Amino acid sequence: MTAMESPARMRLELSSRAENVPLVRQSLSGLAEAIGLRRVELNDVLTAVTEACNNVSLHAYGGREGPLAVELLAGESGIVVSVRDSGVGLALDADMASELPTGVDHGLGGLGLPVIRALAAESDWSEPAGGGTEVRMRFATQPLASQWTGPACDLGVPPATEAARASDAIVAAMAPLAVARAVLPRLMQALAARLHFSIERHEDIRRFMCALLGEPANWAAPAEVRARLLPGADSLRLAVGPLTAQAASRLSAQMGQLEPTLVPSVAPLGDAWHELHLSIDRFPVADIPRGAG
Amino acid sequence: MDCTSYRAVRGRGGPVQPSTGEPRDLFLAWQGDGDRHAREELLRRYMPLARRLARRYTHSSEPFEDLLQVAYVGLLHAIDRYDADRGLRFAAFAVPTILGEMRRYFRDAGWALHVPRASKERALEVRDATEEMRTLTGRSPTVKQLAQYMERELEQVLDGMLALDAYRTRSLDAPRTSDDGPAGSYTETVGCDDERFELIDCDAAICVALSEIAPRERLILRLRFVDDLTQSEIAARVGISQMQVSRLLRRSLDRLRAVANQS
Repeated sequence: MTAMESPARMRLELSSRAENVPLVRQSLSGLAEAIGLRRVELNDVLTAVTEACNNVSLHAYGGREGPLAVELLAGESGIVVSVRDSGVGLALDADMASELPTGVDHGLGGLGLPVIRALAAESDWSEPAGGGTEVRMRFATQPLASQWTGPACDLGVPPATEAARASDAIVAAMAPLAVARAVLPRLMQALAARLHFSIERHEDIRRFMCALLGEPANWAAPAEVRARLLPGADSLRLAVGPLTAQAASRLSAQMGQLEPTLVPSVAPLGDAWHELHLSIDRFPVADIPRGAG
Repeated sequence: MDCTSYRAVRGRGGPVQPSTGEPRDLFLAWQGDGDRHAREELLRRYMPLARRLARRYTHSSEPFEDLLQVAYVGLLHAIDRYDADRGLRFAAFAVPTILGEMRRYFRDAGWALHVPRASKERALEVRDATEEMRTLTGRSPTVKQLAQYMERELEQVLDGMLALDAYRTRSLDAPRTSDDGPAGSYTETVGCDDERFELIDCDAAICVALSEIAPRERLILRLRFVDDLTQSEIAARVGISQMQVSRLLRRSLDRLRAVANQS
């Protein structure tokens, strides 16, 4: 496998609805597995990031949903995570939150904020220029292998999302390929489980993921994997790139032949880059009643 | 001042039970006069706080009852160490104290090791459950149905499925072609299966130390860290109590740690 030059990083953009928080956790677990994080460290990251995401889910949009962006970078001084929304801003500042009673659990206003403070080596809250709230957390970890760490911890996060969208789509950017290899299959399987796919469809997804991510030559440089996942009523759609033209058409042909439930197509992204679109149906042959168990 | 603000906000509907005695007085009674009733009252009042913190770790595979016990221990420490004169609200002091106790518990329970690739044991469990459900219903189950059938969390079943991948790569053994010409088989390139079961950063010193540990303790270590069983599951399997498992694990880990520190 080729040497990985870029630091491990990941960015997720998704709706703030509560059922998406487990997707964030699955992604974090995948990334942790890829870079050899210790369980005790992942545990802190998972718990604190869950608090931050739950807070967005519950409070940022006044009961509605809106964009949630989670970005993670493995740096020399540990893991830096940013959780950002474009909602109402800091409804509760730190001072006010610390005055709330212990019996009330309003996200950051309740236990969320002290929990994040206790688990992260550093944390801060801000209202970025574009509106909304950003929570940044740095977790001190044991030194990571140098191949995963970047020179700086500054995430330089661009505005959370293009517009306040209430879309079902989940957008993920992952680098390097080894991170995508651990994260993307988890996202796909978690979504497929949510959509009541049968184990056979999960197996199709697994095979496709291995063919797609197992081969570095599939990917057009720079190897930052971008994916858009769209769960529908009876299907899961994935657009992923940038692939080389050859790899995109080869994968498309292979998948179309092998798995009648996968409907692939190829779209150009740029000169030599392509995106593979894949639609995976829930039921290939006969309808399987849901909720039998 | 602390008391007034506490009472004021408590009036906003927190579920902390009403009770005689202000927290400050209770802390004085316990820490100053050694009044154990005051300590019990404080413990009773703040138990919900500890419980809510413990609940935040249900994504870990540790049994909730164990987590709760640890959180209560942390709460007791906080009650004993809290200094009301320093002007910090008790909850603000207690949260990091309780979380500190829980993190220590996770470290001691072996969580200082690398994130395990998904558990082999659970992979086999998923495979068997899938077959059983197919036989029972004549259909392929969904992950949610599997989770119900296995009495596991959905996320644990997903982990098991990922681990199962390691067993299913044979179909990828076919030679593959790449843009650079022949390049071996798919299996050689499928990174998601690399070192799937190699959890422990097993440097030479640790390997030597492992060989000196009694077979039963080695088995317990393996069940805990390779197969990712909980202490209770190990206890059931080995036929000893969970407390014994805990003790043996701690002893083995201490020994490994000592060796690792020497080298």
